[in-house]
Amino acid sequence: MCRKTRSLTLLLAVLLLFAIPDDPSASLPRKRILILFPYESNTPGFVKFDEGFGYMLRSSEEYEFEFYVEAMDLTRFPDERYHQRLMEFLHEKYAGISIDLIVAIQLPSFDLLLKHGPESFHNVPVILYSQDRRLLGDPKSIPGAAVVTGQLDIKGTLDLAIRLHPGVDKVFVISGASRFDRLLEGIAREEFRSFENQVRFQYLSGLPMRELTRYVSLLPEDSVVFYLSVLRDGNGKAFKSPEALTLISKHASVPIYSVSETYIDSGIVGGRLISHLAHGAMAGRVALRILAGEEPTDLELPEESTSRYIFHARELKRWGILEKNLPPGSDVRYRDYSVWETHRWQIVWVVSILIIQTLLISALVTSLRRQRRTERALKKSADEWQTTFDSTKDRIMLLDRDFQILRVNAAVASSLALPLDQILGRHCYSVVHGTNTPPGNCPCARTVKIKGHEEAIIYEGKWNAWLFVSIDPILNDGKEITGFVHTVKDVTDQKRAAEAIEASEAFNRAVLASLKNQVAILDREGTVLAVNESWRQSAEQELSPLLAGLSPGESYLEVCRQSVHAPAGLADQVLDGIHSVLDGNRETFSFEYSCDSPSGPRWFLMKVMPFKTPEGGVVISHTDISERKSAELEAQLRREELTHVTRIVTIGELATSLAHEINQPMTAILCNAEAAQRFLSRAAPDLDEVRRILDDIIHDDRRAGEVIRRIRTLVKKEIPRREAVVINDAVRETITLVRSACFLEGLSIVEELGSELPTLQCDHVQLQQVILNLLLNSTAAMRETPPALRRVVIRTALQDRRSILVSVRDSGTGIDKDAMDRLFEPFYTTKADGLGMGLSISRSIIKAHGGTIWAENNEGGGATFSFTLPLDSGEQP
Amino acid sequence: MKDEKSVVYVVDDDPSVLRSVERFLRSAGYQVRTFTSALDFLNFPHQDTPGCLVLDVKMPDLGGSNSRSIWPIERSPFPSFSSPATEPSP
Repeated sequence: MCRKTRSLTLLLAVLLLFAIPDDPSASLPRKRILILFPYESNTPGFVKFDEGFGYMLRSSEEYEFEFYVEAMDLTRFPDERYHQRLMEFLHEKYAGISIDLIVAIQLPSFDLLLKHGPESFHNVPVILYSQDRRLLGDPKSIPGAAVVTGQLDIKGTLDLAIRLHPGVDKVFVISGASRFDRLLEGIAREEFRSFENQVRFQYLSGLPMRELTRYVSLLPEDSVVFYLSVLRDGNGKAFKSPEALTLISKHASVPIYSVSETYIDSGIVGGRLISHLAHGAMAGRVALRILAGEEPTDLELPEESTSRYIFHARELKRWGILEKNLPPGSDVRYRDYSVWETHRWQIVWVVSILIIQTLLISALVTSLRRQRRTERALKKSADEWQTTFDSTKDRIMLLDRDFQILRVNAAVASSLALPLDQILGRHCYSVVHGTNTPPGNCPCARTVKIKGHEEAIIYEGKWNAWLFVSIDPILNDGKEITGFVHTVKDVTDQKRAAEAIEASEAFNRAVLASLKNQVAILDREGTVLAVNESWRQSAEQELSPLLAGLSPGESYLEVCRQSVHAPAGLADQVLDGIHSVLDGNRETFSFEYSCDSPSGPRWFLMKVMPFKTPEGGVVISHTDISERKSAELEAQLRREELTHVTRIVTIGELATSLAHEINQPMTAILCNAEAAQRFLSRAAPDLDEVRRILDDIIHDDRRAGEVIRRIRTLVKKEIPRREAVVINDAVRETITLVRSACFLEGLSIVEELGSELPTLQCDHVQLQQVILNLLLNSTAAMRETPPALRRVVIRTALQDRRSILVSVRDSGTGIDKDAMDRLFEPFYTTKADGLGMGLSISRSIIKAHGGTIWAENNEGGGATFSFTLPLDSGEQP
Repeated sequence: MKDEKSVVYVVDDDPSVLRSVERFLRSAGYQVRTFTSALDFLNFPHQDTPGCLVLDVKMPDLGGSNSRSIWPIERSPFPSFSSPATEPSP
């Protein structure tokens, strides 16, 4: 900044040397003029304007001038607070100085003055200068200023370019992203409308500089560039006025035309160029009138066109443009210094320009060196970027806002198999799809609508490929779309892989769906991952509270916990089972349960197995075992009936013995009663005797009743049930029933009953049935045994802590080997009149109680039948 | 009819029955002697007084109806009765 200020000082010094060397007068009134310039002070346009302005003022010999210049650099520092502070600073700076006139260059300077200008400036007359009235918008909105404008000859320049390049059919219009750039672009678009039947226009607006320079290097033949202005590029980088043009022209593959004289040595061929020098002179004339006392707002100021045909000799030569084809009066610069002699008016200024430029150059040497370094770094970075861009497999296209291709990477070029010049500048859809509009499945329409990223996966038959297409809009500061980044990735392989996975998943689903069992898969937390069709249907029919209608994501454990329909304890049992498998405490868990469904009672076998994946979990399957279960229940019923029948038969076998058991007390009662009658008929009856008789009668009657009760109990058909049974009582009762039935000469029944045996939980009648059966068998086995040796030992004992052992040992013939194997089979009997069901039924009874029954031969002859009954609960009989 | 000297011997292993039969005979004016087993009866030194025997043939120490052939009662001077008149169980 300091260096730039020095440059300006030097410039002013030079001007002074030119203007006031022979003016010794110090008595002229002194006028102080403040020039507000929005950009940097060394902007060429401004330098020239300043020259013209100063020249014009000094041509008047009425005043002595002091110039104050504020180059405010507003483009690079757009912050509102800076603007405010700046004006406060100027207020302080110029506090002791009486300013006579302010010249606001361009609208931003004027706006700033209007918005934040200090009070001390309020009554100072203002001249507003702009290159073109159209850049000011509505002139009525500019109060209290004399407006000096030139007129940009955009039409004239384009007309010239078309005449000089008869084959041209396309014009690339370059403009930047700053407010000024866009304003100018807007004016140009208006102007170009009348040319649309002659040439096609493509606007390269608001692009990042790197894109722009690369793009202009690839422009097709038969096109020209119309350069408007780039004060800021698409990346927000600010450029001094001709700086951007210099970068662009260095890369441009076609001639560049523009509208300002300041660009003439920055790489343009030429054009109808406005002269800032002339504009400065115009402003100077107006300044003199104001200083002479005219009101700024009263001034009638016609727009003056200062544009002239100006060309650069080197550029003409470069593009092969013959001077004879130039319009009459064209000014070809840098051709031949002698020519300048014929342009007397300009000579002075050209010389001064040269001097100024020399000074500027020397002042900027360091800066240029640095710039070169920066450029090298930029180029390196650009090269790296380019390499990256070209080496990615994804196909990337940069499009302008009309979907014309600005740029593509190597992947696009190779996939399209087209040379670059048949790709660039054309509409992407016409290049890729050969259509006049984007294809219906292209996400670009949505991108335009939402001004944001869009993507789609599209099948492209041309390549038999699935493409992932994404489109991102490039937005300028005003959030308008200036172009698109169009990226295509070939996702065919991924798509095919996904399809393969999909097919495999479909296969798995089909397997699951085909299972008749109801299957659910839970994760480690018991959340449902999947259920099969059978599960779903059963849930709909509400077959079981444990087959709830679950969709993936619900917690099965929670459903079980809250199941109100489940029989008491069922949910807890299931939860414990699932947890035990989930925690790895057991490999599998299965159990059967019954429940009521709308179609009647049902039985299910539920199995919980570990889900063998790294994530773990369980597989739950339900199998409807209602049919099997009802068959089992039916069989059990039959067995019970058979048990009953067998019991009846057994009791039938006992009939004579039982009759004896009842007859004995009956006989006693009868004898007692008759004896009592006789005793009572005596003269002195022995009443004590009679009383004893009556006691005996009562006792005998009770005894007979007890026998009858026991028989009835055995004969009665009752549903098996669990009750507390003292084993020794059951054994003794049974012995009294059989004692007379087992009448064998010399038979002794010996009780070896264990003491303090725990109470059993079992069916009393069935237990007696078993004991009865074993006793009858053992007596039957001793028919051939000598009477003195006939002996049955019935023993009860605690087998271990968990069961009770009952054994019946006889001294009979023993069991031969063949019989031993088939002893417990139904209908197997060794007795001539046996039914063959006794032991078979006994075994099923003991088994139902969770015990076992077996037979063995004794060492000293005879056999022992034993059974155990568990003390804790076995299965329900 | 009732001979003071005549004694009825009753053998039965069922004490209740034995007692009632003893009372029944005693109320009819007989002298009664009771035994709970056949061996007790046989070991009893009975005189040659007139009498009769009431015997329960289904006692463990007797062979039931078979016992008659092996029993010394065959040679006894008084008639014997079996009671009750039941068949032994098979």
